[in-house]
Amino acid sequence: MTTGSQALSQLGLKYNPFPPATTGASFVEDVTLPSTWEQALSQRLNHLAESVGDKALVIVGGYGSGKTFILHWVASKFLEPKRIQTFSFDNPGVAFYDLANRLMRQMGRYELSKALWEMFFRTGDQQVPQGQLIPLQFPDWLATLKDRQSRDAAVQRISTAIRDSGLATDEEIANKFARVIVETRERPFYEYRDFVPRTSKALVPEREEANYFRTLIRLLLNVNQVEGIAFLIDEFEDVALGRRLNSRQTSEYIATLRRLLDTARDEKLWIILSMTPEGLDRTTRLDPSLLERFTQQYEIPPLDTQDAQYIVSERLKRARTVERDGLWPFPEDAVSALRPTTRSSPRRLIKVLWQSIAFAVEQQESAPIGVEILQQAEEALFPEVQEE
Amino acid sequence: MNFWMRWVNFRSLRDILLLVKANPAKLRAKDLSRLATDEGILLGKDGQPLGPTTHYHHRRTLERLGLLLKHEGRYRLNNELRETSALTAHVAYGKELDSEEMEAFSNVVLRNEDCLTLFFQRMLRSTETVEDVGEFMAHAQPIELRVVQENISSRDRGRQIPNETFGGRSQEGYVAIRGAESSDWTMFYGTNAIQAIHFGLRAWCVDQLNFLDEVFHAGGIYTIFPRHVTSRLSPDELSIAMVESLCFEGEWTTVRVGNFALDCGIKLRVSIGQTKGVLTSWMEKHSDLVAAISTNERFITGGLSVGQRGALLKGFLQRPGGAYVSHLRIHRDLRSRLRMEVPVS
Repeated sequence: MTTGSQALSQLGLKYNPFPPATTGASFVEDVTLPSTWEQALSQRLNHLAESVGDKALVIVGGYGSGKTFILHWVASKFLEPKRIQTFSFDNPGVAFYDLANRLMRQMGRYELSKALWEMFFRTGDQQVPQGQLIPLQFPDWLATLKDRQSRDAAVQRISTAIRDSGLATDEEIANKFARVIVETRERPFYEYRDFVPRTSKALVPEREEANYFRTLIRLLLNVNQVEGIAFLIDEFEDVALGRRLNSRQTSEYIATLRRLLDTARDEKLWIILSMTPEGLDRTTRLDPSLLERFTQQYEIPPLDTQDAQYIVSERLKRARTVERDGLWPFPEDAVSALRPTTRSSPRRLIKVLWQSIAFAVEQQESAPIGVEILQQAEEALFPEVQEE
Repeated sequence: MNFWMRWVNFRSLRDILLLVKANPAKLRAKDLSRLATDEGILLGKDGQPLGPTTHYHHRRTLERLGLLLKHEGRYRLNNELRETSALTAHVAYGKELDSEEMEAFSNVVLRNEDCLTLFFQRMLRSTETVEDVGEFMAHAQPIELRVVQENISSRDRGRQIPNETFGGRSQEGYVAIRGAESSDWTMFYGTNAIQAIHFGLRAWCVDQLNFLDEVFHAGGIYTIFPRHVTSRLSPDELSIAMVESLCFEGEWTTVRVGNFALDCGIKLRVSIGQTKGVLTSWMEKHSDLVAAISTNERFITGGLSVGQRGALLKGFLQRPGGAYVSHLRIHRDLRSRLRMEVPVS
């Protein structure tokens, strides 16, 4: 009896390099795009980097067309080399403070509070207690905030420091951020109610969303010592996932997008959204002027045969145990033997190749894997309707 | 401005004509109501008799369209209209309208002066009149219709920049109509206008008489266009005509289902159901050359009422699993394959 790994080695592979679920790029060690895609995207991103104003790009494509993969490429190949910190959102929610919630949760309350505390008191002497040579560390400082009086004093001091540093001009916003730091002792994590502006203990101000967010972006830039912040929002229309938006939520969705863009214009913030074509169309109809501000759009083209072969060979070359190139253990005509709808769609292509290797392993095939196995896999995954 | 049109059932209208034919110049309004109830012509969905208002609107519609005449309180058919004989050819009640009956009703609706002024004039431009649905098909152009049923302020009223306004109180809502290529809206204000145009005329022609069809857009606007009651193209001919209208710059082209179905419907004067039927057959029978792009239904119907949601989703295809398809990506080889399957005569 041959084991799976033995059968794979018969094909000259260490592992099956095509993930069956084909979502995102986390499985790929080196994110590379077909050259035509890379060229078109780089051109658009460079236009944004070299210009002032809105830094916003919309990536448009159907499910399985490669949107998530492209977002990973943008983050790792374009933004990170420019020292732009990226934050990824899968489902940002319709309200503006949903974004703040998810953003600050990604940072972690304790980590953000610690970083802010260190930033404001880096050069000060207040953290060196009398009689001690070693300055206080953040946990020690938090431990000193035992009573309400000391906490109020700390909020006041940090609030003043935030305003003095020019990161916020609004007294309420400075106070809210100071509370994020000081109240970390009681609760080193966020709760959703922290981001509901009408509650008394909210960490966000009511009706000051845009200013609050600008301050948050400035704080992140300073804390992380980066040249910019980028929000990568995948499947933006998934704000409606699991529920149907009502009129109010639809308006909030549009307002959130608009505020994000306003923030992006004034601060070093990039907004990269991915959407389905209908998501884009719906958003455009809701507010035609809004999408005009996304001056850069990239509509993902269908893969041509050459690009499809490139994607396949890139994955195979890392998994091969034998000195081969091209599409080995598949024959060189493997991609062109597939249906046009399969070879033009990244997700379908990857799924069919995963299934082909799985079938070849099951059937204990040796390389090269026959075209008939590819077609068998294709039919198993995407059966064609038989004509009457 | 006469806003007498209301939602009525044209099958019931035809059956009321049959009742009058069987009892010429005998029936008063209350007799007609009683007979219509007894014969099951005008009953609610639960089988219960309908109220007097519904009977009244049905009788009034037949009178206004000139099909029924009233003399000394008793009804008789207007046999001077050529459509009367087509509409009273049946002997049994309750049968679905056939295409001849639909055409007969369409003709009298199109010739009615009030219907023309309120609705069809925008499709015919200028002040043209038409004699029948055939002539209408030859001249009619698509229109856009927007209906707002909630309270509107005077400020909103000003925003519409109408070139003509008619009707009652603006705070009760309005119907706005314009030619699809025009920028000028004609406004009809008030509940009566909404009932007459939106629930009356529009619904008559689109839902029952089938010489108009429509697509609802998320922006709250219906595009309404003329279509043949009986298609002059076979499904294969329609399929060829649609694939020929595609423009390929490369290997693939992508079409938005709603827009493409509407464009083809307008150009070929066929229903959205027929054009969508062709697209569904492409998607299912030629899945190697046609890729469906799905969408998140909850997102695209966000903020819409139940009725609007149904109307909007008419512009999408639905997969057997229930997913809504907004776009199709079509390979250029589809054209040659369809040509091979259906040789063009």
